[in-house]
Amino acid sequence: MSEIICPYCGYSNDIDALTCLSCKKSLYDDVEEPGNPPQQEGMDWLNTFRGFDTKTNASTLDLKPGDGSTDAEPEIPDWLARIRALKGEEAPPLEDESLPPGEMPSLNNQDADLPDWIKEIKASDSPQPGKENNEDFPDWLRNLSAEENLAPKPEASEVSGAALPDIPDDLQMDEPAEFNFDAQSVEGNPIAPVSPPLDIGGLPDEFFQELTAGQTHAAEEIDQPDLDWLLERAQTNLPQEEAAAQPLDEPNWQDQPSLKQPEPEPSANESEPVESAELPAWMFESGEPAGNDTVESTEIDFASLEGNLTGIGSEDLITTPQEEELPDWLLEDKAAPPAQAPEYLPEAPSDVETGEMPGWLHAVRPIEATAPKLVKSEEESRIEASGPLAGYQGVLPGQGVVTHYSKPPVYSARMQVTDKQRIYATLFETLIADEARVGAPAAAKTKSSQLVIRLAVGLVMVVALLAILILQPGFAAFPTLVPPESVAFYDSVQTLTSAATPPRVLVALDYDPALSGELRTISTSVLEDWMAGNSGLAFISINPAGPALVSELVNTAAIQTPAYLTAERVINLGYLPGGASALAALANSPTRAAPTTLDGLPAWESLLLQGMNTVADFDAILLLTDNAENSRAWVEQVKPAAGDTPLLVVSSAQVAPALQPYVQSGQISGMVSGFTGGAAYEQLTQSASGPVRQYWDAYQGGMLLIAALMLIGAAVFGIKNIVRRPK
Amino acid sequence: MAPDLLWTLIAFFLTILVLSYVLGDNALFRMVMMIFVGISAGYGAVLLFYQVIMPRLITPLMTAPPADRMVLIIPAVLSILLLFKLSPRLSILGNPSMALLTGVGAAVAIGGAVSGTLFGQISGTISLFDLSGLSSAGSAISQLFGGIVLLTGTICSLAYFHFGARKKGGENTGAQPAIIQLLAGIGKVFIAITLGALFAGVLAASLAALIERLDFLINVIKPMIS
Repeated sequence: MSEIICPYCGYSNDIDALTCLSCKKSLYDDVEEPGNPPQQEGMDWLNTFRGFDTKTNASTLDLKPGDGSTDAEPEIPDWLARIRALKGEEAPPLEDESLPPGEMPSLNNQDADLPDWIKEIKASDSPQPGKENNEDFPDWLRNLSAEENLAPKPEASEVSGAALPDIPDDLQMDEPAEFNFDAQSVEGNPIAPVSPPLDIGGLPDEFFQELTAGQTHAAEEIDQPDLDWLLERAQTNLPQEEAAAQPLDEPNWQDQPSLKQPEPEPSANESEPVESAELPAWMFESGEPAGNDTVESTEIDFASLEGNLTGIGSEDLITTPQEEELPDWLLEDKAAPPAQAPEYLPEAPSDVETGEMPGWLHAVRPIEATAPKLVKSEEESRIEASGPLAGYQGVLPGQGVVTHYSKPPVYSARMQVTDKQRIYATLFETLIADEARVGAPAAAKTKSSQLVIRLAVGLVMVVALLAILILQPGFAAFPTLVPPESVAFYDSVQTLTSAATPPRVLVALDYDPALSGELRTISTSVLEDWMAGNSGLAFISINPAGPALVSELVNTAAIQTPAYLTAERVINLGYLPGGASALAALANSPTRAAPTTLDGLPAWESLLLQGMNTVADFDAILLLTDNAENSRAWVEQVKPAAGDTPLLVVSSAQVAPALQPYVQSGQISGMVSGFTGGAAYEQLTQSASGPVRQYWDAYQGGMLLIAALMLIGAAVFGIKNIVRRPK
Repeated sequence: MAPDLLWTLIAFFLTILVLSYVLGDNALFRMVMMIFVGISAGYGAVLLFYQVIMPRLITPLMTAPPADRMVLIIPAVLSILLLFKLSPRLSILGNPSMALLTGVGAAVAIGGAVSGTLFGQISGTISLFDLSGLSSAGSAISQLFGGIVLLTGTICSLAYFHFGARKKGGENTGAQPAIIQLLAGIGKVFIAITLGALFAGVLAASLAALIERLDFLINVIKPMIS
């Protein structure tokens, strides 16, 4: 909330009050103090405010360490600190020689020209003897105060003139050569001749010597050279120099004589632009509270106010003593936090016309006032301490990135499950575990029982068959009912073997050695009959093992027929590769399909096969097979080419059901299958010592035993199921 | 020791080792199986080389007239290309040979199946209903009954392998038509009988092989005992 300080008693009144609540005097009357003309002096004071920057730049207000005006300056540039330090230690006390007393007011004169309300403010804000009120000041200001107390105070005569102006930071840099202004550029300015020499390298000494010698010009004359100097600097210098020149824009209310400004220590923070948070607390206390932030305070045009200062009476200004004192860059910084832009200004008088900001003020306005403030990180604000980059700030930012590298966050790949899902998963695992726990003993029990049963059945079968084979009990009678295919087979053999000319038979051997025991036993009787008829036998096989089985089969059959000339009447055509395709080729042209014998001799030039060109030239085709597919291939590929040549089949018992339809259809002329067919054939031939008869008892006993075991097994498992079912 | 006796003893022990399978799968049984497989493969390779490759390819290429040699180049090239099937990277080069084998085999099989099996089986089934050649009524009835059973079994077995579903309202109901279900049920009986006959044949063939092997063992042991 805005307040109005009573110029008479110093009481803080409300902004709307017209009279002081304490002394009942008008707050807006002209304040007259002895020896201090109210209006005229007030205008001088305002003029001093207006030209403070330029004036102090040029003439260097007489401010010395220990001066009480330094307390009101919230920010002391480091260049000023350096100058003060030099002047305080080396320079002799300055004397105002150049300026007349009326034109170059000293600090005491300024203090005398100040209105009473400012005096009151200064009186209230100045530290009381024996009382530490530095709590209201920022830390840097307290430090300055502490140094001030420690520093020796000069005499009162030496503290003449105003406070030192805000000289840009570049004036205090270590390289003076950078600050040499071009003399021609200065001369180009019409007002330049009146300005002091701008040899920046020697500026501080000459600058202060002129100040102390009182060689300052009148305020009107000094303003222009200072403005040009500032404008030129604003146009030529780097942005950072402009930023450093920012204190020039600040009104010199900070250099009020009542506020002591101790000699500040140069620090990095002081080189930054002044923020509102660093302003003295008394400034905010006398105006609106810092916490009350409104937009109105930032919309006031100080340039217009300043431009109309001459036409405004002190009654208009007394209500807003801090309005004009605030820098415009602070007000324009709308983006600043509310706490940094306190609303302390009341509404401007309605009769004040809006003016424009002077060009020189625009030029010297710091960039930070308009540009968005960059928040410097710790790394950027770090100053290099060593190396070629020593003294530079914010360089090599990547070093911090490298040194402060941290491990990337580790993301867990674990599945996120809810409590409900976890309960379900646990229940499911329990069910699976129960199943596995119950199933394992059952599997072991099943495996052991199967092994026992298999071993028992095997032993029973082997022992029974061995007993039957050894004992030859003769309990099984030969079959009296002969299958018709066996009869047809027998009829075909007898017909062919009883012919005048010995028949020539194509014998196709197509079974594996695994079943040679069955097929050899059955085929032996058949071959014996063919051999007994002196038949010519041409063996061929579509099984690689066939040629080897041929010799064994022929040798076994020839034992019973010693008169049969095996070497002349038997020819082995060997292996016929190609499966069904080879059979088709054999049916079309046997001489090309099987041109040589197993020994490599020309087969079709032998006496047995001489003059034969097709399969139809054979008297019969005898197929010995244990494979249904190959048997069907013989029927499909060879039989149509054979014509009326009978196709006789000696098959294993396992393919008999597959070949039975071809027997029924007449494509197979006769068939002997298995021991049953062999026994039937031997029954037909009246053979008393046939191989099948030797095994017939064992075969019948084995079949009976198998049937019994199957029945026993079915009964046991049936009973077991019946017993288990009630459970 | 005579060679026959040596081979007989080898055959004896190998037979015993094979019969050890009654105790379960064991190393001796697997060893004998490996021996049989190896001997069969080796014998087949030697047989093919000396009876197929040498007399039918290499020898004619060397001794045959140039005209026959040109003809033999085709199977020679196809056979060489077939060897590239051993390499997965170059197996594509063997595709022409495989295409030829597959195409010829399929054509031969289909032709033989149509002319040898399909026409032959249809003709044989129809012949059962030809009663003209029969001399007696009993034979005719018996043949006709056999023909009816055979025809019924054929139709019902084919109906069992009918996997079509009935449509109702444009959507498959998943159920076969009633007549098909009836025929399939009957065909299931015929199929079961056929499979039972095949199983019995396998069992009979195995029993015959076992008896022959046991007789071999007895014939080996009996002279030693006596």
